[in-house]
Amino acid sequence: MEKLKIRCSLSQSPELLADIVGHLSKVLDLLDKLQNDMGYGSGKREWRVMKMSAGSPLIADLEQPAIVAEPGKRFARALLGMVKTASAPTDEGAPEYSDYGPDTIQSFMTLARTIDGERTMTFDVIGETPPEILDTCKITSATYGGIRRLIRKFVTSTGSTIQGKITEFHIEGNSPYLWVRELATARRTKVMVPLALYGQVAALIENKETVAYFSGTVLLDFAHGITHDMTLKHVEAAPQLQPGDIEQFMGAIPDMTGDLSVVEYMQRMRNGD
Amino acid sequence: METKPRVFVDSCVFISALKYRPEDLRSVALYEDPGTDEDTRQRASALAFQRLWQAATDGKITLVTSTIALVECRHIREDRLLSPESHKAIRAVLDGGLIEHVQAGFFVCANARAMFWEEKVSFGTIDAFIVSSAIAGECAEIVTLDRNWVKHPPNVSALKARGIAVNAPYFSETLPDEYRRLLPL
Repeated sequence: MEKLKIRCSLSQSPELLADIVGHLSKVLDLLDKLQNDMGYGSGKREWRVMKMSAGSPLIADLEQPAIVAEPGKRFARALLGMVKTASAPTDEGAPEYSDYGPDTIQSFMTLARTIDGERTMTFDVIGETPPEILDTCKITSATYGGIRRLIRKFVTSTGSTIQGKITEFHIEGNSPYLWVRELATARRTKVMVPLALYGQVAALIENKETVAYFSGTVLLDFAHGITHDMTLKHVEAAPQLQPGDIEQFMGAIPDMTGDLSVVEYMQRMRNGD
Repeated sequence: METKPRVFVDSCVFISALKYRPEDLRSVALYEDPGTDEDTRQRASALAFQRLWQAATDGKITLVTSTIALVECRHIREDRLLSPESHKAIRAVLDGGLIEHVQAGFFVCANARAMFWEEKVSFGTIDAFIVSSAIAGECAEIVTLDRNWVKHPPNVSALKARGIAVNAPYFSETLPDEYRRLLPL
């Protein structure tokens, strides 16, 4: 099943409308595929964006029926619910929209782009979302179970570390954050930077340190077996590799294993043999 | 994920490299059976690491290990007496970013546990953890000097199902051809 990440943000920019038209057919294609893969069939074009009440930006993928949006001040108003409907392209090749009409289309958009080989769609919600959808996402006795299950998908875990490279730096208000790409998995993680660590992070970037170690608290996503979003507690640049390091490494500790062979040493260390 | 071949390097390979200087490796060769003599096997392992490192430095392959290697690559009893130069060399090679670390995180451990629960493997705890780490690091090969744990049928099946080969470092499938033929430095 193809992975599709979806992030949401809120914008009032009318310039986005041009992007909406330009990218809409691509986005709809992606939504169609997503919909079919999820077993909704081709006749029901309904997409729902839900909001977490706490935590950090969350990402939906194809296995997940609810598209979870990023919470926070910017998103509080619009991302409780969203439904998109559309029909297939007309003979002229332009998409024709039904059900919610062009106003909804304008309220729901979009840049489709490729990041690290994974398709990522960014939805900018411009207008108000339909109130009937908002109602379904309020915490009521009817929705509590679903929301509770959603919340329970994530648990915080402390002491996680990422060996990675900073790929983006952002400041929203007084909240700086990074996007860090982990070397071993190529997964991108949003790393929130407390102001107390701002200086260290800034120094990393200014010194063009390419690899660093980021430690902090992450969200464990049990549904997908991955972690999301780190709140940074410690950051440290990786030591710079120099020519000749490998020569100094080779044979640096000749008696490292004492009288034991390497295999005996490993077995003793790991198994207590 | 990049398309370069990715190989998971077990701690024992780093340890063998820490034991032998490049000039100690002239008597061994890669892709030749080193026999049962432990010293010869270890030297061949060290030579293999040197070549793997060289290939990674040249951008031909990616070396991956677990963060547990950071604590396993230590002296049997006198770590605190190691010279600052030794510490610096170890940090540069293991921490410097050329070797990618798979974190010993929740999901790596949970996936290792799942192998015991669901597949009746007979790995040791750390062996299962290494396999789980190699999977997380998207490696098709694990190189290690200790391959005894591979031989049990459930373990063979588990590894085969995941497309992971476990080889002695001097028989690495990941090392590109041009690095196999080089003479020892």
